[in-house]
Amino acid sequence: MDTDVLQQFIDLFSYTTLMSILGTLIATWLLLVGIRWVINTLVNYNPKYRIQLSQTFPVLRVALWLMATLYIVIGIIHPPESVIYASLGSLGLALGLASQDAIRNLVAGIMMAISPRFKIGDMVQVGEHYGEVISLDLSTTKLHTFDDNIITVPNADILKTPISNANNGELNELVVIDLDLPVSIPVAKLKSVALSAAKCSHYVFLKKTITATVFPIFKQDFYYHLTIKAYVLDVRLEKAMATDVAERVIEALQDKALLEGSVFTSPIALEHPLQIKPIS
Amino acid sequence: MPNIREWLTDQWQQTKQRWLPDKEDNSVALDQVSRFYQSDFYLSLDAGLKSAFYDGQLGGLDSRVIERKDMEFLLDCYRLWQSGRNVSCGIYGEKGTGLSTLLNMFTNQLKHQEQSFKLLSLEKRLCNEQDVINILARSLAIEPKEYKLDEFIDALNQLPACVIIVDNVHFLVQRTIDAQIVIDTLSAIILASRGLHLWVLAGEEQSWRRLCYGYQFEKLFSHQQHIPNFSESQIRDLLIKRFSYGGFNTINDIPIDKLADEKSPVNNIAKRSKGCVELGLFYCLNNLTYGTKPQSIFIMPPQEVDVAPLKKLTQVELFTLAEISTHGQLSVKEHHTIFRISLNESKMILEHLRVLGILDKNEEMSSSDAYSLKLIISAVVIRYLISMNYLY
Repeated sequence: MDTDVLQQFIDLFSYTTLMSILGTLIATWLLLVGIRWVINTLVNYNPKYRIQLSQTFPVLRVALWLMATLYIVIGIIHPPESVIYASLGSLGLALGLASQDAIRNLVAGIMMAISPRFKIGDMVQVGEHYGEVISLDLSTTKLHTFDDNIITVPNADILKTPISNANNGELNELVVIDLDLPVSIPVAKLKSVALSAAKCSHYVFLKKTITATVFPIFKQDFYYHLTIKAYVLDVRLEKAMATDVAERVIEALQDKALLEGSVFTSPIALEHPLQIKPIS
Repeated sequence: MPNIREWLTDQWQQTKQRWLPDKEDNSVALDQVSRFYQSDFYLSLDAGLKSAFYDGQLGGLDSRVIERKDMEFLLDCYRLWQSGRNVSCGIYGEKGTGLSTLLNMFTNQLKHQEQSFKLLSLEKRLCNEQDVINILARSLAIEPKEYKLDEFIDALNQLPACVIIVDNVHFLVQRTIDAQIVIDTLSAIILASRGLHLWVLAGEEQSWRRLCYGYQFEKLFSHQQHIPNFSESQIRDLLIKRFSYGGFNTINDIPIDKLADEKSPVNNIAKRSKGCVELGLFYCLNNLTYGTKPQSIFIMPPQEVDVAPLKKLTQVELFTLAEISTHGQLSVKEHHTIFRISLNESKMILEHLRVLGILDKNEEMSSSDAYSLKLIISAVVIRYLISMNYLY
């Protein structure tokens, strides 16, 4: 950048210009705070549309900041062409040098806002972390796990990691509950009890199909591997439903005197077995 | 010089009142709604007015069903059945939409046509196959004995052709392992006798949905009809009819025969009632004052029902309300079975909801500890539960 261009660049930032830029940035920030408040209020009034309403904010935020930036450059600073070209060159160089982490995450955040891989409220598995997406910032994504931890994942990592999305924008999601049961139980009765137990749980979304399958497996001894697939009313109740259905199946089998031997339960939505409970 | 601070405060208060009105000033508490008919104000009202606005079962005064297509639907099904078609039909609607009234009117029509019919109104939850067979045998006057399912179907098919009407199907809903047996038994009986008898089943909307989602109940019926809530104009006409019945000539100085045409307070009440007649009746009585002229009254603009107590309920309490609205009513024992908590906890939850004015305890029923939604606020509660995703 030669001395003339530098002088032109410095001349652009008068006191008034700087105040206008500051005013624009504050106005944009306030507008975003207002939009967030409106969205949160709407979500509180209509939790049923929690996911749909929440997903609008990340897109609006990127769009508003882009518009504010354009307004600042074109409307307030209004630089001559030579400064634009010089600045673009410098910016390109800066991006090239600093694109290691922060810029990479920022670019990833913008790409995710334009073409989202998941939405706020979705239950996703990112690497070893499984939880609800609670925030989609420009550089990071925050997950709320069932252990009540907040996991912050850089957006660049999300772009290069396979993501498993359990509900994809809907409030209900499929939960799979696995139980290993003794082979002494008649298969037809086992399936019938499993389906009825799932229908008994108040967490189950009955509008969608419930299935139960039984396969024989060998784990030190022969077992029936029962898999119940049912939809939960709200993704946040996933663990509660898995536990409830598993316990109802075991209780129903005990009530009907059909259980002899060990029971292993492990809803596969969970990372670890729910419980390993020997039945005498 | 005017005090700027005072002026600003005044402007802010006006703006706030306009855009963010204080809920306490513009809403009526949930427990006030549910306890209105025991309040001193209600008891002090004119006897004629009270009898006209009693929030009981919809009687001959509210003969909206005559104007509606619902009756025609039942008569169409009946004609099809008479012409030899294999017909069975179901009707469902929100609590307080006049299902029982509709069935009574249908039976009157059947009497006129000298058609034999049996009207069975379920009064307790059916828990197993024998419960279903016994209650049907008793109401259909089939020889009392211990029937197996096949034997009962044979006995039923020996009867002369008749219309079998079953009301209150919410007593079929249950969240127990054996619920499927009850539905399967009833389904088997209906399907095996459908050609001979005309089955008409009626129930509350949320119960009906639960039966359809959980047990494909809709497959039993060749014809189904949803009875919608009262429309604004129906509620308006009904309220005007009630005012007229109560002997009032003018409301807010508007002659009663012009209430339907103008922007009257009755129109406003009809709009805010959201299809619930009982709420309309409450709005009328809660906001009226007697006029200075004889047979005249004034009605102030009604206040919205404040659902704030519902927002403070815990998750298990909201699930409890959802289950009560699908089961029709729940006893402490049933609640304990569904939620797998102790009997004392169940009792505490149900009593808390009753104290808040959301539930009624049905003392007169055989199951003395059955709790159900208060009719006057059931529509408000159900809408809230749907918006909160506890009902669907």
